[in-house]
Amino acid sequence: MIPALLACGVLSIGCASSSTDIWQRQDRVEITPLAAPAYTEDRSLGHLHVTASEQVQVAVTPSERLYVKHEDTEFAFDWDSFGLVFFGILGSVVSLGLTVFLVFFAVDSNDDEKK
Amino acid sequence: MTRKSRTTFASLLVVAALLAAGCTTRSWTEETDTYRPLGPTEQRIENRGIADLWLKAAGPREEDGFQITERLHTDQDGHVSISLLPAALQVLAYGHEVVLEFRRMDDDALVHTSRINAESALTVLREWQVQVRLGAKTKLRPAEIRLLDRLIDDLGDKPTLEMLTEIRPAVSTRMEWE
Repeated sequence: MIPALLACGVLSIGCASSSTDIWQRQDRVEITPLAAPAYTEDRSLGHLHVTASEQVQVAVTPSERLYVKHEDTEFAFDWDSFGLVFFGILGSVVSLGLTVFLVFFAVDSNDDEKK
Repeated sequence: MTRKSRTTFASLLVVAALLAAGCTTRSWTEETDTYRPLGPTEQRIENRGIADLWLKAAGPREEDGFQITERLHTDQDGHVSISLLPAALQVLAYGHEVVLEFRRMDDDALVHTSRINAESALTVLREWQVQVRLGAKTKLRPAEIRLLDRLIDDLGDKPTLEMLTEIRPAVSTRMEWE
């Protein structure tokens, strides 16, 4: 178990987090209402159309906006994967050993019996 | 357990651990409120439509409970549209002018009123008559359809009756949720 834990420890050394500043072109727009909203109406084709509007001051500043890209790398140990791999290897070793046993011992002994 | 088998078992564990363990990376972008100006600020004054505004339009409630109520939602340009046919029918059926009140739904503040008198009601009927001749269809609530049918049965004024009779086939029932 100790070598396995050591291996996990070695793999986790490289785990870290970092952040990168990214400036993207995005104009800064500030809208300030100057007066209370006004409602105007227009009648046509049997309908009443009402428009809600307001007078605003729009201030546009050509600028770049800061975005921060975070990257977080964490150590992960998945017990399900560990079990799958462990028993997969164990099963392979056992089946390989069984095959070797059958081919070199069981078959050979049959040949000896024939002789 | 012999020393050799213990070593084999430990090796198996090491290999499995190496294969199963690792690092997961997640990344996300955070939007900040920090700006870096690139040039001078330009200011201008605009008249903008108020989008995404909920309004409630309501007419006066009659003694028999008839009332026009509509929930309206402004589009990107601040426009809402409402058919004046129900209001025109109410004017003709109850014999008085109808004032449609528009209230903001968030604070119930009265923001606009619109009057429909007998003269404008006839104008509305004429406009609907023309539209129906051009193939337009419209939907009215069951109470409004009953009002229209009652007017067709009771109204003595022949030109108005002709307009209503012409409009009636183009009218279908508007569901409660519509």
